[in-house]
Amino acid sequence: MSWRVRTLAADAILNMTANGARSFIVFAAMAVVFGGLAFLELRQADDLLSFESDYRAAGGYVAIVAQQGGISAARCEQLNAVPGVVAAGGDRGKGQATFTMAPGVLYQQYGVTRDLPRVWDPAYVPAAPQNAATFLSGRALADELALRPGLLLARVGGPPARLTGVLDVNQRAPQAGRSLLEVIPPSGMVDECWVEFTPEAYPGGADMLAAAFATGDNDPTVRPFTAQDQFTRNPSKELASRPQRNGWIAGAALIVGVLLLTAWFRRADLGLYLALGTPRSLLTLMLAIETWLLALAAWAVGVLWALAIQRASGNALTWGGIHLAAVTSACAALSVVIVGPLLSSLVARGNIAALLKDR
Amino acid sequence: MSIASLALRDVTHRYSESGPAVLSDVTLRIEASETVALMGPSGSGKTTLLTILGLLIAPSGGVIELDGARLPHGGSSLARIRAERFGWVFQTANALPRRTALDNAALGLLVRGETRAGAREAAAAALDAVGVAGLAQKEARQLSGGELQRVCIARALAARPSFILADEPTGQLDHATTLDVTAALLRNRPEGTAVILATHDAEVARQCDRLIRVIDGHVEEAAP
Repeated sequence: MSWRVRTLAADAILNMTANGARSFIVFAAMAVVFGGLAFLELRQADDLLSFESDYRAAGGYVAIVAQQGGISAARCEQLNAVPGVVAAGGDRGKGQATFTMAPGVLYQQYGVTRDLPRVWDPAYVPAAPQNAATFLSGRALADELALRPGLLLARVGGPPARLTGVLDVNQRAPQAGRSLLEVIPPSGMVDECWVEFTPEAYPGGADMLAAAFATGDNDPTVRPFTAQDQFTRNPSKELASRPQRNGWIAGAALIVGVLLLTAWFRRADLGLYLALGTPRSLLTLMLAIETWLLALAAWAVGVLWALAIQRASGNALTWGGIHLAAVTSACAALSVVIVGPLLSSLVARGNIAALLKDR
Repeated sequence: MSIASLALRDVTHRYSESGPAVLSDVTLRIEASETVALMGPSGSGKTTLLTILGLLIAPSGGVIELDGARLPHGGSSLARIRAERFGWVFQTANALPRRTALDNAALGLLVRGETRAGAREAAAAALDAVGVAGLAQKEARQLSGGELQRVCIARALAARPSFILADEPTGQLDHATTLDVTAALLRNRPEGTAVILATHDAEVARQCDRLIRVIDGHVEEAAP
């Protein structure tokens, strides 16, 4: 067997340290590209991700389907299993007497009571029914009446029911904050089906909903939850069109070009390894080890540098931004470590004797 | 050390299909322990013949036999044979310029799969044998032409190959250094190792057992 992999790796490291200036130039080029990508992401992504979060919380990705004669609640419920759908639920407008605005798709499985509740603590009601119906409470009401999950409630004149949770409905339906919410099973007909999509699925969601509920000549109508002119910007489009989203490919190509150039100046060295009996596959592995070590170090330094600059310029660091910066720069780094050594080894293809003369 | 032989039968070579034949119907055989000088004018095909003998390029036609077995014209097995059976001293001293003389001398053994410690020990002994032990920790680029060529000879000797191929190893050295370097190669070669040496220098050729003249791609035996 020629070359032990451990010896090969050690020789690759010796070559890197012996050619310190060359290694530093490649490292610096990589760190600038990876760090630059990370910095661009941090600068732009925090603003965009925060905007997208607000946009999403405001129901920017919610669509509402209505149909003459009502919509099947079961069919609406089934949309929860469709990829790209965050949540889907029916809205029965007639039952929602305490407020006129629909409560928002995340709470659409619940109806709302308007009667005053009586409240018992189960600790003092040993005979509380085990199979009691369930209620949920808005946060404002829970704070006002010191309600907590586990208490038994009853509308005046109604049977006892258990409070199973406290909901924060401030963002989509602030009116429901001071209400008790009652679970409505997905059966019969509802007036509207509210569907929340992921940002990626939303653009095609309207067509999907129209097709899902189409029945002969009774076509459904689909409308967005938010008014069309409520937002002048679309965070999904801006995230998708930010230059570094695909710009990392150019960055990776630039680094691969630098690697090719350095390999070109090492033709005689590579030819010597081949002449002495190094298989081409192991020569590629040796180039790969050099590239991996440099790229890993450059990626780490580049991202840390970008974080430091972002922090030093007074901007907050968020996990979303750090994640995006790390992923984008890692895409470039991964491409470099895969493509770089393969293309560099092509420099040493062909006549070994000719390579040796290229000193 | 195995008893080795290296033979070419009817070997022809062209660098391109339509180009002229650089070698034509070359048949020769080299036995273990022999020292063979290849002489001939520039462009006669000496280097091509050496690179074919050393399995660096595949001939356009003909057969290469190692220890009586026919070798393929390509494939990964040739790399292993190059590592295990052949040592090289090139015309332009080919070494890794920023690595030490010791690292360069150990390279052939490392490629063969020796441990670094074992390779360095053998390389140090070879550097000592060719008279440059004191330069072991110097970078190759800091050495003179003669010193560097001795390091390359040490690299070939340390690996104890069956065949050492030397392509005008003293072509860029002065006359005194030429004789020193040639002596370092021929005197220190391991027992059983054959040396095939291309040269323009008749005095160098006289130190070899055999002389093969290469003229216009043909070979003929001559008295050394």
